[in-house]
Amino acid sequence: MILQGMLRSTMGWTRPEGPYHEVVLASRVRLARNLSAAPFPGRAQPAALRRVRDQVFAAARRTCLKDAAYLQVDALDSVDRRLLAERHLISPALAQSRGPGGAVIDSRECLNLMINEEDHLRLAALAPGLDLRRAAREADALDDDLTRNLDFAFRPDWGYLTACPTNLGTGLRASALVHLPGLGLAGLINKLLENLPRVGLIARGLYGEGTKVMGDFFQISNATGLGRTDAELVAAVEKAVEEVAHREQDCRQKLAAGAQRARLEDTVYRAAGCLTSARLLAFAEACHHLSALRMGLSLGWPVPGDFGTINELMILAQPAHLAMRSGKAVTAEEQAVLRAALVRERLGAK
Amino acid sequence: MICTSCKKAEAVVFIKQLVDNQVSEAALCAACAAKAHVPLNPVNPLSALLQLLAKPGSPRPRAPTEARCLGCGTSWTDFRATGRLGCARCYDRFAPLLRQLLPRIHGGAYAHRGKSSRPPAGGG
Repeated sequence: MILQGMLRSTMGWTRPEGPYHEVVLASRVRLARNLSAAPFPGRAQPAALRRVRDQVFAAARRTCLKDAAYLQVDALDSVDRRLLAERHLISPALAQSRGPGGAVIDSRECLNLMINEEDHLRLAALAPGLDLRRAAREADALDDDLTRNLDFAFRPDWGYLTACPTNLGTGLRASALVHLPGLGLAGLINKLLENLPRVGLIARGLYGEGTKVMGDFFQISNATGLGRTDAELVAAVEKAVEEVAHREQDCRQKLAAGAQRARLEDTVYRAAGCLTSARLLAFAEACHHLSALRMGLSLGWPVPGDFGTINELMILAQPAHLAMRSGKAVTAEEQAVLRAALVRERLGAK
Repeated sequence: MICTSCKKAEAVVFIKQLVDNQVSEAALCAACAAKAHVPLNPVNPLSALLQLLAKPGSPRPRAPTEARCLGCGTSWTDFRATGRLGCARCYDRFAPLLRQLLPRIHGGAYAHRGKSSRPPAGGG
């Protein structure tokens, strides 16, 4: 465990700032890139991947990431790796990989590189709230700087070449991490998710591809990146997420004003009671209640905590973060005790 | 994550239900999801690609002996199994097949319109 310092650092993207931050926690733009001279990670030997990592590290040191943290993921223990995945800095797949993976992380955790996962390089920029254009600008600028020193695999007809042809083209995925409890309670969430593909969008769980839906948090992103410009893709996702945010806000207001108000109040205040009193909290249960508390906050109800605290708790209450805080491996029951204590402390309860 | 039903295959469908304040969760593989009448998420790009590649009408090499990429040794059969190519040269080796496939996985799009990669300027 060498990443304890990260427990004290603030994740810039969890700040309650930016447009629609009550519904959209964060915006993220990632670019997938591969070096033309090396086989993709699924086919490359470890020595080749170590060379790729060295090249990317060297190129990144000549960009705005010169003062960032440079991590060799295979040299980290399992708690450190899971901590990075819990903070969305590397994927769960890279955290489990034994190959020579890498990560470059800036001090605000708003700009980072993930090296040797499915592709040689995944560059990501994050911004709080719905601000995909800002994230896209930062990702694009860093990509330009890296291109000066790295020869990316590219064909004029098909764009940036990726291990999976579904990422081919721009290699761009613009995604928004959204909180949709209102649409969930109103029974409209499945209809919304079903309609996303019609406008070229896709919904994923909290940690990306194939992960579970927790506490009504979803990632909405473009499904493919070929045939449209980077700006068109970003604008399409931003427009659709803005529409989703409006519908969510509308749903919350209608629920609070309608016949279901007592039921909604019960859900929110029951969650507040549980979070401020429980002595054992599983992560799924914590997510479920934090989601309700967040909804109560957005309606202006007097519940404990604030958006920033709840956003951070969604990260800090995860297993590796709790293990890191205690400085040792902990059992599931110990985790539940630590989580309940952390949540009570952050929400100002005894 | 392994399927919670058969406990063998990789789970691809995740279901979360809240009934009487009890969170019920299931993670199912494609086969168990089909048996449980849970529709597969048709828009997961990799799942959709693998399903497409498994269809009889999907692009196949015409050569009697299997073609392999000269750069990394990946064959079209390897690609059909994993949905992943092995290196940049695979795109040249399998270009005719990919030209048929790409519009089917990119909503009809077949050409890049985004940013261009410039050759490395060196030093910068």
